Amino acid sequence: MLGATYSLVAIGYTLIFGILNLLHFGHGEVFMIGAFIGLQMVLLTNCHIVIAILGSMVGAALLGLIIERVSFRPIKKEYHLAPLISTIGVSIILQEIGTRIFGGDIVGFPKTIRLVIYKIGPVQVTSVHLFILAFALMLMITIHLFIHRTKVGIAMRVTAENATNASLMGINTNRIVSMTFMISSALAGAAGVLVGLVYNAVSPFMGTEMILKGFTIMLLGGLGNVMGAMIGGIILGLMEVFSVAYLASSYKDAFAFGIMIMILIFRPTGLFGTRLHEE
Amino acid sequence: MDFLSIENLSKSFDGVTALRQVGLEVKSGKIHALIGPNGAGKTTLFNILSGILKPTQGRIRFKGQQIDALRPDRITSLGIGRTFQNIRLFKSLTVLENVMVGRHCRTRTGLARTFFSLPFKKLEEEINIRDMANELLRFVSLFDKKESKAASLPYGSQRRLEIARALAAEPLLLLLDEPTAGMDTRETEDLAALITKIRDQGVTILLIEHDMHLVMGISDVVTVLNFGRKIAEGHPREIQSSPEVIEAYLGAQE
Repeated sequence: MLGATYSLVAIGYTLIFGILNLLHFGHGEVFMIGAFIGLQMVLLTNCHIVIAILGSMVGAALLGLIIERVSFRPIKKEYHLAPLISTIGVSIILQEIGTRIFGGDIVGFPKTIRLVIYKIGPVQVTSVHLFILAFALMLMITIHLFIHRTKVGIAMRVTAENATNASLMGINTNRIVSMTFMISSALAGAAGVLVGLVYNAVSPFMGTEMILKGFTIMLLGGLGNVMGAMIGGIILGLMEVFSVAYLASSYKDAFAFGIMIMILIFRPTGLFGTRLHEE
Repeated sequence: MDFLSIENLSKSFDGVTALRQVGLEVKSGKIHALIGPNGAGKTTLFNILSGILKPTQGRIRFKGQQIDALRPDRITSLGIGRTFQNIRLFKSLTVLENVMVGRHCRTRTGLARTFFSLPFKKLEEEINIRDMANELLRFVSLFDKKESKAASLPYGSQRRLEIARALAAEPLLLLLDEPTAGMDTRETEDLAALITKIRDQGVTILLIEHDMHLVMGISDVVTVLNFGRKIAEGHPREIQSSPEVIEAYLGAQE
């Protein structure tokens, strides 16, 4: 269940990396802001959770657009580290803004879904978990169809393969970059609300941990590989759950980073990765 | 109004001058060949025309509009398409998808449109693009390969696919950079016929080519570059007998 939300964050991360060759460190904070937008919508308007998620996706997409315009587009790309450092700046600024507006405390998510517990053999599943799983899967299928079936999706893949070439096809690559930021951010926003629901906790610092997980998943699935990010997220989620069940919950993050180190040592292209470096 | 006019064009890279004050007029509806020894600046000229490189000096007008400062995608939309000396297909896409991508600038796109527009409208546009792409693949005789990955095609077919992809944007001017490189005699003959056919459909062609037999056979005008300078221009027959051209190709005769 949790894995599916990780996948959403990792897909956004992967899309941005695939197209821009950029590790977007502010992505975790977009996820956090998304969670707060959803939370506030539920608290203030008492709306349905699905509407809150959609609202948070729209909000996060706008935030992504602003990030791209303010902290990516004006930066000179010749110096490889400049955009990366700029996204670290974005991350710090957003975290500070989050703390200032929402306070530094962890806030619980109001109960919006009636809790029902289903038992399937020895496995217990709650209605919240099912909802999260369904919603995350639906988003993943949508994004998969989008990337593979639509013109804009093909334009994105082509831009990822070779931006100069893409522009010669008459593709406005600047626009594709903006769209990529928006879509990635919308997914992160949705993931933020969903994770808030699972843990029943939202805080300005939830992004930091998430971004490291997102990065691990991206490595696990193969850099720039969207399908890999989907499956990688689910694998990481399952491993965490099992490590909590059979070991101790405090070790679960150690697992995530243990995996990252193992992959870097044994299979640097990731489980589904084929490309390491091009040209 | 001139179709394509290049005035006083220069380009230097860190002190190395690739083009020196080149002037060129391309007339609509012709096959105009650009020849010259390696390093003469032919591909640099193509890169400037398609907007990948910006000129150090000079001006380019296409149908009266100045284009030397425009982004590549704008230039493509205005009607200049190209192929590459080193083939640059999108390897991860199929043959058909490559051609469909070429159509991108003639279609309307946008996130809102992609997610929220009426499905049947999208479908209609999609069908149009597909039909056109299929037709172009028939035109370059690649229709039966349309579901293969572009990278799996043999060399000669990849070159024809690049041409189909460029044609998908409905260019008025098509830049072909050594389209017969790596082709055998028969493939080259087929390609010459294809280029003539494209010209007869009203597309002006600017062609970089080393195969002199092909150049002299199909060109209406030939321009010769050497060391970034234009050294001759004229009808193929005049060029063949020009002493300067012979010298550039064969070296000075003692």
